Amino acid sequence: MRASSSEAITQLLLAWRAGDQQALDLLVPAVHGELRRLAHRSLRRERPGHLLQTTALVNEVYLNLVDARKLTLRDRTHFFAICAKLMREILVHYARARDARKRGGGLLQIPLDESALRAPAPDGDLLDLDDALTALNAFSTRPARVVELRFFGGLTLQETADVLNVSVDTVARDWDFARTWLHRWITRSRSAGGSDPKSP
Amino acid sequence: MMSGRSQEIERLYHEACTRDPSERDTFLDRACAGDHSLRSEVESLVAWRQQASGFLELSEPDPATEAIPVNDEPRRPWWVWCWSIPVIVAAAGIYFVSLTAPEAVGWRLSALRDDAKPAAYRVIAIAPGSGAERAAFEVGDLIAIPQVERFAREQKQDVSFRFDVIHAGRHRTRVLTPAPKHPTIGAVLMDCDG
Repeated sequence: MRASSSEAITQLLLAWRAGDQQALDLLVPAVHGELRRLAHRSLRRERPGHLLQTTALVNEVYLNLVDARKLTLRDRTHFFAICAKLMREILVHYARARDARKRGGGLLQIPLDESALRAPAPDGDLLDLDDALTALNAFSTRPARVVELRFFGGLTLQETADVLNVSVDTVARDWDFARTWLHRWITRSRSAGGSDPKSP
Repeated sequence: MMSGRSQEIERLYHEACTRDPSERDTFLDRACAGDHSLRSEVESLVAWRQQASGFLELSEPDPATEAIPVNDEPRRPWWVWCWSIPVIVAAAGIYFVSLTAPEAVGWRLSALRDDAKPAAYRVIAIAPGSGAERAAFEVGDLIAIPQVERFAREQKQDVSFRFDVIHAGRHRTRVLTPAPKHPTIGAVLMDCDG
């Protein structure tokens, strides 16, 4: 990333934090591209069965894309919040691609480099979590968002509270509720052979 | 979107969890007021809570078995500006590379929490002409903390390294964001929020 690009993304991030929603539209594609590139690289070198260090990835994207000297820690937290949603999409995309290959789904177009990926984490777990998060989001939005920010973005309780503009206690309670709800949903889903457990 | 029903389930779940198990039946009897569906759902969630206690916890590397990656794919250099000497100080779990001379800050490595103390630094990049070459460090080298301390004390000129922190403990690594409220601090090396 050249300095000019870094400057542009930094300015977009600042503009978005100041309330310019159009800046976010421009910011997301750049972040997504870099995150995907680094996630791909990391997925290739992860040991099988080892969960991807999403926090380290998001940090690296941050360092590559922005001029960190011009941003506050709060700006950084909001940048991570953008990354959390994108990271979820990217990881689920990879997991679905691998899953399709394992099932012999020859119709799915997978670039050659992606087809060489080893599984960094149990794909089924990730796909189950994604489905469960979608269900939780329909039931209650904020706990689902807390999981996305913490699990896929690596945000702390405090950072998550900053992003969601709620107290740390509220985030902790949402986190507790979400984990219980998701664990039950996934367990029931597996018991039912993958069908929607229709919870609650 | 959260429906009134969802809100009620969440509220009762949290309230029930704060109560002694022996009091929950009475609490739910009163709170659900004959709404069997509501009570059943809250009871179910409370019962699942124990099983979910370790769910979604991030897996932490086992320091005994975790290999330190050396010479893996090159990473983009990002300079830690150590215009005087790298001094690591601890502040609220965040560790900084200071721009000040060590005598102004004092050596604070001992202030690091033991469980967060990195085992070593790996040199990721060295700024050309920075003076760092005098240390005979090369990119990819693993440098133990005492070496960093000794080298830093010996330097009289500006140096610029990029260090990667290799953890001995369970904590995750974050790197390099500015600390604008602290004018003498150039970059955060890591924070540990395990």
